[in-house]
Parts: sequence; structure tokens; C-alpha cells
Amino acid sequence: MASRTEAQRRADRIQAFRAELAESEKELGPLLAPEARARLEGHHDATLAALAGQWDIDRTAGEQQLSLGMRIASLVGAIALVAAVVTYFYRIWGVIPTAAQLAIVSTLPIAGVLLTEFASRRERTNYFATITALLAVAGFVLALEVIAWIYNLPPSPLAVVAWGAFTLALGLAYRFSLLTFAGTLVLAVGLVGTPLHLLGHDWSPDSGRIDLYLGMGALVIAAPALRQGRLDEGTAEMVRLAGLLLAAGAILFCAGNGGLSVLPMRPGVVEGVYDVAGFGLGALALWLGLRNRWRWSARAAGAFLVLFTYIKAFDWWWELLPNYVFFLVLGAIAIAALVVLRQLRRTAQGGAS
Amino acid sequence: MNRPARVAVAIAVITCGSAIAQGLWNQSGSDSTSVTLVLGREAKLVSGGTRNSATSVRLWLGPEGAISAPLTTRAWLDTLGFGPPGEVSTVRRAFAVLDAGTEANPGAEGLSVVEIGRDAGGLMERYPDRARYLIAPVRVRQWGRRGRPDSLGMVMLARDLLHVPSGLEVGGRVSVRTGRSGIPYVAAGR
Repeated sequence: MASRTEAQRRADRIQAFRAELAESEKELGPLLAPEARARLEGHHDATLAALAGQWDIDRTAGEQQLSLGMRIASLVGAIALVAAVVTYFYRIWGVIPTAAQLAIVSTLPIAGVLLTEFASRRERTNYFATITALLAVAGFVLALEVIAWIYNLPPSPLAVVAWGAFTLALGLAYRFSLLTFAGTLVLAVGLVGTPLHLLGHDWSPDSGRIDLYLGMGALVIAAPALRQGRLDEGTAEMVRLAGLLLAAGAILFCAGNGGLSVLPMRPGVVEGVYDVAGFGLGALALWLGLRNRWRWSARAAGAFLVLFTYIKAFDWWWELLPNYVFFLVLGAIAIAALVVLRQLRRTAQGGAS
Repeated sequence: MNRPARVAVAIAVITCGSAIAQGLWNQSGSDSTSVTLVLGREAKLVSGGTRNSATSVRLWLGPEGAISAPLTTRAWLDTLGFGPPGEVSTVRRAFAVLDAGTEANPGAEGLSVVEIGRDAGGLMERYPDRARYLIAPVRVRQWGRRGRPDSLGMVMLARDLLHVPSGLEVGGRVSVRTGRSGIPYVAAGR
């Protein structure tokens, strides 16, 4: 198995098979010969033990609930520890010499990575490694912020590129979905800003070049295909999700305010172009997600289409229609969306069978 | 440690190292002459209180002591490559020459922007009086059609807070120097 996700899926299939076999045998009586049953159960037990030994999977529903609780606890703990480190540093840094300030902040991210490596080797669950990895990321962000502060360096997208690359590298190193997603997103934003910055333009999102984020989003979505076979499906999904978020954000902003686009057209025309692009590209992303069984991407594309439809409905009809008709139209759109999605689901089920 | 983790360490080392080198290079070898700013007139002391023990100096631009100044010269906009005003304001990075010449203009409050350009070195050559002129990175925003009729846009300091190194006492005045890269820094306090 290439990842914990795949191992968990296999374990879930075994558990589902056992539950269904037990249920069917209640209704129909024994279905397997004792020898075959013993052989199958032995094989499943050995498979589950091997998967648990390698990936620390959850073997029962109770274990799954506990795991979820532990993941939430480690995330909350990480956020609290990050807040403690950052606020403590800000409290003391005015009274320590500049060289010591630089030494402390430069060491933090490296120490965070080393601690993550240590925690990852000590326990397979990676709950503690999650905490130390988030500490490393926060330490790196703090380091560049403090160095820029000390030397009055103006904000630069190169720092954003470095934050993204660091976070993504940690996410890939220890297979942390959240860090992979966040790192990809931040890196993509920084990569859009860098050429603009080098050409003397402002790189902040309000500088009227939002379309560039749409282009970068498309590149990010395509990136896992270029690395086919070298990224596990869970990681590839997180990368695609980051690209979808970037592209969706660009479409939403440009469809709302055409002046934010680089397209050489009147803002009203640009907004119309992005209205069409929003529905077209959203539907394309949904179709690709369903066709390729990219679960998170399909969900994100579906959520975007629903959100975009409601925003556009508000833009077009809120002032034009009486309130009760407007809400009636929204209700009708929701029912229409349900019908379409149900049809898509049936198609997908047909394809699967 | 696997390869991506080693890459993460390398990114941290290279990025922190290059940021520190950039800061040190800016402060090394620059003209030792500095502009003396009067606190309350061209700058303001900012303390983070108990939550942030560092001290900073906030530079003031414009007659109202605000951190941005109105942009009134079309020539500056042309220098920075702006086209005709569009529907939405556009922004460019630049450097500004800030005049702290209170002797020439004794009643004025705040630093006044006397020129804007893309090249910090060129501006330093044109305004060599390091005891009067500061160079600082700025963002220049051109007003669109919705802009105010009395100005073409505004100039904002890219970083209006200057860090006061620990151990430096700042009283009523502060000495600020322009670095080699056109980034100002606090050199001494009084």
C-alpha cells in the first residue's frame, strides 16, 4: 500500500465484507464451509495486522471515532502551542540583542523539522508529528517576519514562495494532507506574485490581475497528472483541491468586479465572460472529478457551482424581483440542482456496476 | 530524514540566510550621515506594550501626519509606467525621496514626498544630501475614474514602521539612515 488512506480503504472493505457476510448468514444460514471460513478469516486477520503494523489504521468504528478525536486534539494543541511560542517571542524579543533574536528565529523552523522527524520515527500515528510540523511552519513564518521587521525589508512574494515551498515539503515528507493543501495554495499565490514583483508591479490581489490566479489554479490542478505515479492519490487530491480553490476564488472575484481582471475589455463585459467561465469551468471540474473518481475535487466543484449559482442569482435578480419570487427562484434552483446531481449519481453508479 | 524533509531544512536555511544577508548588505557601507527626525512631527514612537516588547518608529507622510501622501504629479506616474486611469486603481512598487527639511519648511508636519522613481540609486544621486533626504520603498496607487479630483493617486510607505534595535534609547529625536538598497533604518536615538 502506498499510503495510509489506501490501507484504511482496504481495512474498511474487509470490515464491510465481514459485516455483510454475518448479516447474510443470519438470513440464509451458513454460506461458507468451515475450512474456507477459517482460511478467509485467517487471511483477513493477517492482512489487517500487516496494515495496522505499517500504517496504524483503524480496525473498528470505535477506533475511527477515537482517531478523529485525536486528530482534532492534535490540531487544537498545535494551534495553541504555536500561539504560545509566537506570543512569548514577541513578549521577550525587545529585551534581547539583535543577534540573539536572529539566532532564535532562524533556528526555530529547523528545530521544528528535526522534532517532526523524531516524532515521526517514534510513533506511526503522527499525532505528535502533526503538532511539531505545524510548529515548524509557524516558526518559519515567524522567522521571515521577524527578520523583515528587524531590517525593515518591504513585503515580498518571495517570502510567500518560501513559506509555501517549506510547508509543501513538510506535507510531502510526512504525508500531512493539511500541510500539502496549505503549502500548495500559498506557493501558488507566491508564484503568481513573484514575476509581477520583479517587474515592479504590485503583487497584492487588489492590484487588478486576478485572472493570473485562475491560470495558476489550472496549472496546479494539472500538476498531479504530470507527476503521475509519483504522488499517492490522497496527496494528488490535496494539490488539486488547492488549485480548484485558487481558480474558484479568481472566478468569483472577476465575475463580481470586472475591473480586477487584466482582460482588455469593459468591466461589464469581463463580468459576463467570467459568469460563463464560472459555470463552464465549474461543470468541467465536476465532470472531471466524477469521471476520475477524485472525491474531494468533485465535492469542491459541486460546492463551487452551488455557491456561484446563488451569488449570480443574487446579482441578477435581487433588485429585479420581489423578495418572495426571488426566494422561490432560489428554491427552484436547489430542486433543479438536486435533480441534476441525482442523475449524475445514477450515471456514476451505472458506470461503476 | 527523507528527501522532502531535507528540502524543507534547505529552504529554511537558504531563505533565512538570504533575508539576513539582504538586511546586513543594506546597512553596510551606506553613507554614515543620517536624517534626524523629531518625534511627534516627522515620526512617532510605537511601543507594543506588554504583548510586544519591541519598539518601532512610525514615519509620517503628508501634511496631516498620515502614513500616505497625495500624489499630484503626472510625470511621476509616467516614470513608473502607469497608463491612462482605468476603472480600478492600479499599484506600482517604487522608491520615494522623503524630505525632512524642517529648516526649509519650519511649519510643516510630516515628511514630504519630493520625487518618486523606480531606481533607488538614481534618486540617491539626485538627492545627495543624506542629512535631509530619506529614500524609502513605497507603493504608488493611481486613482481610477472614481478617484478624488484633487490628486492623481497616493503614495504609501511599503513599511511605515522602522524597527528600533534593542538597547537603543529613543527620546525626542531619532536618527534614520538610508541604506544601500534604499531601505531606511534607525541608526541612533536621543
